[in-house]
Amino acid sequence: MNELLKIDNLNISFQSSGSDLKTLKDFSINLKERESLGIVGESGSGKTLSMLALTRLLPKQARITSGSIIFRNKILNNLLNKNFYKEISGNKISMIFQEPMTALNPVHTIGKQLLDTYLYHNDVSFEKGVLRALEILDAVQLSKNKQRMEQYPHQLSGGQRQRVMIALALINNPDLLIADEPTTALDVTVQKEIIQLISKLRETIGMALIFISHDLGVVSQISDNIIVMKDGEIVEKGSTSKVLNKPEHIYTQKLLNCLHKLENDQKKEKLKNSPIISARDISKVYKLPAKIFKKPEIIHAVKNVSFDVKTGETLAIVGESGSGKSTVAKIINGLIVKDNGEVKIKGQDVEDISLSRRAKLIQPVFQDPYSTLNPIHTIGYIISRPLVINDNLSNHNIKTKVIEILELVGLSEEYYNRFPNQLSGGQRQRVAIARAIILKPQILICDEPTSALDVTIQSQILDLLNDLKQKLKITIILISHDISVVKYFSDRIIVMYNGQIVETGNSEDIINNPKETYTKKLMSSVFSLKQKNQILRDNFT
Amino acid sequence: MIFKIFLKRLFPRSFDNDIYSLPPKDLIIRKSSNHAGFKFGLTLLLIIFLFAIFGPIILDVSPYEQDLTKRLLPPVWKDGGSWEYIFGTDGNGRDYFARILYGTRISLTIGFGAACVGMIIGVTLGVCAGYFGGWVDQIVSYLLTCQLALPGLLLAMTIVFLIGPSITVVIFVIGATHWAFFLVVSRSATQRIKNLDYVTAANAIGASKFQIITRDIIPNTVSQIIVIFTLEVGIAILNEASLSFLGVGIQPPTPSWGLLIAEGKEAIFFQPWLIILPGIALFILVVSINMMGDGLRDITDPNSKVSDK
Repeated sequence: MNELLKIDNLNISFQSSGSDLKTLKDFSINLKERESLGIVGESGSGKTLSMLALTRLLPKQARITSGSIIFRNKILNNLLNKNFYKEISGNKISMIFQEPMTALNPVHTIGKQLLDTYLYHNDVSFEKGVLRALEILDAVQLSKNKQRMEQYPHQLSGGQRQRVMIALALINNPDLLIADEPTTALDVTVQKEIIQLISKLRETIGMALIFISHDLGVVSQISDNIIVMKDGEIVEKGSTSKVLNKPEHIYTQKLLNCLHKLENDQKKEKLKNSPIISARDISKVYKLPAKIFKKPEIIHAVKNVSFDVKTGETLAIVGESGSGKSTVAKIINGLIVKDNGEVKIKGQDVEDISLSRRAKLIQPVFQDPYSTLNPIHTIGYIISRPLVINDNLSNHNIKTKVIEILELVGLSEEYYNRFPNQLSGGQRQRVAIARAIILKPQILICDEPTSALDVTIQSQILDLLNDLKQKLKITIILISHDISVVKYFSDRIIVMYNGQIVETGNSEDIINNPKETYTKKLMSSVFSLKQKNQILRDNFT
Repeated sequence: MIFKIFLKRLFPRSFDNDIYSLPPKDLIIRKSSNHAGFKFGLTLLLIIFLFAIFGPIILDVSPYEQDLTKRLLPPVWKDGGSWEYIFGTDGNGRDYFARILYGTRISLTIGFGAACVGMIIGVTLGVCAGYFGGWVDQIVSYLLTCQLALPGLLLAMTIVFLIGPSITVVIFVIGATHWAFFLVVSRSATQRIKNLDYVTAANAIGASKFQIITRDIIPNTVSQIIVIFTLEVGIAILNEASLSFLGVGIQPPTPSWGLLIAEGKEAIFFQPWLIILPGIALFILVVSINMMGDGLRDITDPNSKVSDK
């Protein structure tokens, strides 16, 4: 096969206040026609930057210091911008971005955006352009393609928008498609469909693919070769099976360990304790503000949900975004007032418990490490605050307790006077956990505690939670959309969809023998390293 | 540079090499030493304050003493000017430099006083409206609409006219007609902050509503309120000048800059310095306050990075 793309020793540095920061070091790849290459790395590892350099979309402060990019025996570095955008970008090389919500222009119809891209690069009549646009919308399996041409981006769902993005990228039959985390912002069930679609289109069109992702599981499904990046350097490259089975670099091994650990089952004891929380028929309705001549719109966030949580167990609530799982968590915690039903913690209605007693019973940990800590307070103040509010202790006692807890969550004493903005995402999440456990609560509600973190840090936080669970005997309610995290961690699972409970049961039963169709769909959307090539098989059956 | 050396003497700990282990106070000092606009504005404002406090004591010239034989003397750099009257004299033969110095006191008092009054009204209403929402928000929004619909200067004139002019009355009237910005900014900031996870977390650890408002919400709106505050100090000073110019603010013979301009307007073609000099004084004061305000916003913003240049 012929060589399509060759990048040689590409170096990129960021200029900031006089000093150059090297963010990409000696990046070299070779890509053959029709080959698919996966690039894996944490955020900040330079994986997106390398591709932005290829498509000339680098931010202003970034500069290519050395290296060459050769596409079809043509050196791209010296090409004038005008010729580059006319001949290469959007025509021979196209790109799909992570956020389908922001990548489409909201004021133009889908049809206009498709036609603009097509007619700019091809000298054909408007009618032919329309035909081509309909054809490509059909190819990305978007139903009712004639209607879609007239629609605006906000009328489509996230998955549909990503399909339009793919159509936009493919309308000129490119030789190379770059997909930058195309599925990260989508729900798991949609994620699988999009990856299958990209994989199928690659076969039919016969283009090369560069797939960027932080998720090794996803990348291993779709690519022939894999590159692993860390801190702007390629640490490992090779065929997919080689990287997965015989990783050479320590970082790759660590990454794989994290994934394998999540896949292996832990030994779980069956608990036969009394329920600590019992929720009966809880409902919550959100009303959108009424408009003139229109009835106020009502959204059922949670509808008649009932369940028990036993003392000492870990219960997981699983579902897509918008399924009401976070609302349930906040209702149990007493942070949202429910409309109907009752929640009893230790036999007492959660809304009747005094603030201070509730604080010592149940504590939340949130998803976003950046908004979970008040930026104007020091870490010491943030962690000590529950004690200051609820207990009468001397300042000295409080400080020693805070430092004890800091050490328990794996941070040293020197963090006491730091501010949240001086901490990394993983460290912030540790502080949030420290704040939640300092009152020694009996229940911890973790709302997607790891989904905003990188894979290696994700596994550290899960280890920490596991450790705390054993040491402090806490009951944990874990909310997640990530089945592998849930599988690793929980004793029992509740599956939610559209504000209702679809299925409940022990975690092994739910994961191995799901009964409801939605649960089956959810479980089959998990990408694991074992079921390789499943996507291709699915396509041909 | 001098500023930095001065700060290094005063707070040696703030200049440790390891910026990440600095306590909060030192971090702010460290940041302020690197902000050119803030340093310039603060220095200028300090000089103006020193002039306002000590100038009249040292100078020992009365701004009220009239000498009709020395009417309308030009300032020292003009032909016929002398060092005895640096800025010349006004139509009643009073020393113009002394009058402007005394005017600084009045302008500063009224500017900061009125902005404080406005801030207390606006932030209280804004934070309550943003945090509680519902009917509280509706009432406050109604008040805001009324306030915005009223012509501020006209209202101020009417009230001062009815109560009778004095510095206290002018401060409260200007403050009471200038809280709309504070309200809008603090209300929208509160609405944004109250949905953040750290407020929910504070709720979960048992903090009361009052604690959440004073510890989590207001401190995080401070950097935005400071900018509005400095803006309003400038506006209040100009407002006082307009009121005095129209004759319902500070009453003669008290020297206020607006009054000086009003008194000088008859001589605008022949003795223009009578208007230009208090005008320049107003300009310098307002610019220095605004520069300092912008600097304070950058310094108190916890997300801005510490940099050494």
